[in-house]
Amino acid sequence: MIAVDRLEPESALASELAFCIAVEEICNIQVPRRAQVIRLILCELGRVGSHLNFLARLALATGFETVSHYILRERELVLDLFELMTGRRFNPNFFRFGGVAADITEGFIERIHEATRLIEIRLREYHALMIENRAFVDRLAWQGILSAESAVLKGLTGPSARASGSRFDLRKAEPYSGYDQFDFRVPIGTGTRGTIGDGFDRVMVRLEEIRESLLLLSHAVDSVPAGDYLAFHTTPDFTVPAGEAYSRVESPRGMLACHVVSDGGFHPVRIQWRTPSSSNIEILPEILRGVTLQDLPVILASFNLSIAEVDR
Amino acid sequence: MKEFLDFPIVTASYGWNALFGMTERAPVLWVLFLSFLFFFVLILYPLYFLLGFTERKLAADLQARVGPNRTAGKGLLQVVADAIKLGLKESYVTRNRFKRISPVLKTTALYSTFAFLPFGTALIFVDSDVGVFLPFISFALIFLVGLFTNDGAIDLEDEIMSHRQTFLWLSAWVPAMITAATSVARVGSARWSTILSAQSHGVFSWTAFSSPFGFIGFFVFIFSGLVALQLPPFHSIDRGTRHRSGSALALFNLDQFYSLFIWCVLASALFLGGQTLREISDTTFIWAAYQLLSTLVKASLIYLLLRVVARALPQLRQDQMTEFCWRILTPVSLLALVGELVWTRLFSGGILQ
Repeated sequence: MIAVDRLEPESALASELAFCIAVEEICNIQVPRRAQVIRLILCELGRVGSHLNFLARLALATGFETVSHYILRERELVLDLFELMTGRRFNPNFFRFGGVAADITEGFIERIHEATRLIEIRLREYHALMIENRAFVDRLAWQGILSAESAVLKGLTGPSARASGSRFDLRKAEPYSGYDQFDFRVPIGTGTRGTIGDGFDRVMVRLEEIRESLLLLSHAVDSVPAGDYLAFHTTPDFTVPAGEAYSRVESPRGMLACHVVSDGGFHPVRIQWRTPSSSNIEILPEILRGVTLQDLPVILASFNLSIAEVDR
Repeated sequence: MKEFLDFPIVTASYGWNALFGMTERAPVLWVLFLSFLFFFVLILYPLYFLLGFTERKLAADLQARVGPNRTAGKGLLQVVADAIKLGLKESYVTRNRFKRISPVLKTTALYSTFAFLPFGTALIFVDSDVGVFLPFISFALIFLVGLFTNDGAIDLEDEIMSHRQTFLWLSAWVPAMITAATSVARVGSARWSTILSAQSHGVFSWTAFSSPFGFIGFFVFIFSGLVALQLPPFHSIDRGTRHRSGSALALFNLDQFYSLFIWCVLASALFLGGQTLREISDTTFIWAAYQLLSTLVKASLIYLLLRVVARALPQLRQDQMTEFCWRILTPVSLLALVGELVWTRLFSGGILQ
């Protein structure tokens, strides 16, 4: 699990979840309902943190230093919540086969409510500072336009693809970890300022996703069922029976898939990852043709690629 | 040599003489040298440190962070620490001869503006009939050097960048000249001492507050300065810091500070009034010191306002900046000029009086 965390520090819990789901499928482990909701809460928190970080990076790329400092202040809140729940700000190493490592920490639910309320208020400020700022919009609208067809052809997933009009979201398409129990909206690009699939839409979609995740979070923490948080405690001689499994989750950057092969021994024979950034990066040669040098950092930031994920 | 030292140009620099305790007959070039040294060592350096620190603290407050606080005096010595660090660092060395000549020429052109700066009615070295436009000619030299030496470009990308910056300079230079002419149009003279004297009857005699067009002109002048000097928010990717390090970078930063600061001095002289409080004292020394202080305070306030406001805005692309200059600043500055002429005609000694 420690190695899995290193796949992408920002969405470490999504990769932990993908790995756990694959192993649980081979071992045929039933995850308790309480553990599923805890996993969902942490993954959504990770999504909020990752998207906030995206906004901060984009603000830096457009030279909007002040706003990036503001946004990092909210991201700090998210990292504090991670620390409260898992004991670590990064690389939490928290999910286990059959559940999670610990039950909900005392005061965590109240803190989540506080944080969601605060971030919701601050999002309105960012909306005023960024989305209603003409200079900012001019840097993003009509830049790096990506059509829905190209997105599908190149296998783009996640918010970058949804900004082009694709509706594919694994949380809706193939619900896992109890996402089907909650009602949430999947925002897509509408081309409000430029055209559908431009840099501005990619920002808008992520802003909307933060809002949806905050709503989902406050619903989820209010409806955590009673029960165990872990199906069984693994022992040092824990082995996975021979077999293979393929799991897919919606990480903050897109579809993250994990293929695990076991021969019944102590170590897995093979683990393969399909990371969102490694397929999203393939669109760049098409998008960047004819782009001016000064727009390059902004367009690259608007795709929110993680080089750690690409070079996994 | 004697003829050369007896400068034939009209000067109004007796304030400097008084500041140094010299008679009004002291050779002008000698006073110029002394005052430049005085300005550089006792005014520019301390202001660079002080304004740099204040700006960083204000910006930190604005951005909800702490700002410099590690060095002694609650972070006050941070700028000194930065200067020492840059001084000890190795400089980027190049074999390109233009690369070596270009900064020398640019710095010479930049600091030659000192002779034309209006610190007060008695603190101007060249008080000629076209005095207002002389600093802009020095500034023009800076971009001409960039154009003809390619700014020491070592590859094609650098060359394109340097040419783009030069043309950006030009696009900002035109509205700046036109708005400077707004102030000239109001007073009817391009002599610094006349412009300063005309604005010395209270706040509403200042060009910026005497008419709406003067106020527009003031803003256009400030914005064009920011574009010309490529300061945030009109900030290019490479404003010359890419091939500089160590002491060269420190000097470059000082040059940048000097450019913006004298732009603020020009703005304050053109639009925010002169200071002829002759009645406060008959002593030329006190009077000259008051004029100098007043100009420095005004320029510092404009400087801080600009730097802090710029932090709250995103950067524009270079083509957006050029477009902004040609499509917005230039027509608005022309409007301000024509409006100011009509306003002056109507309200002072014109049809209505």
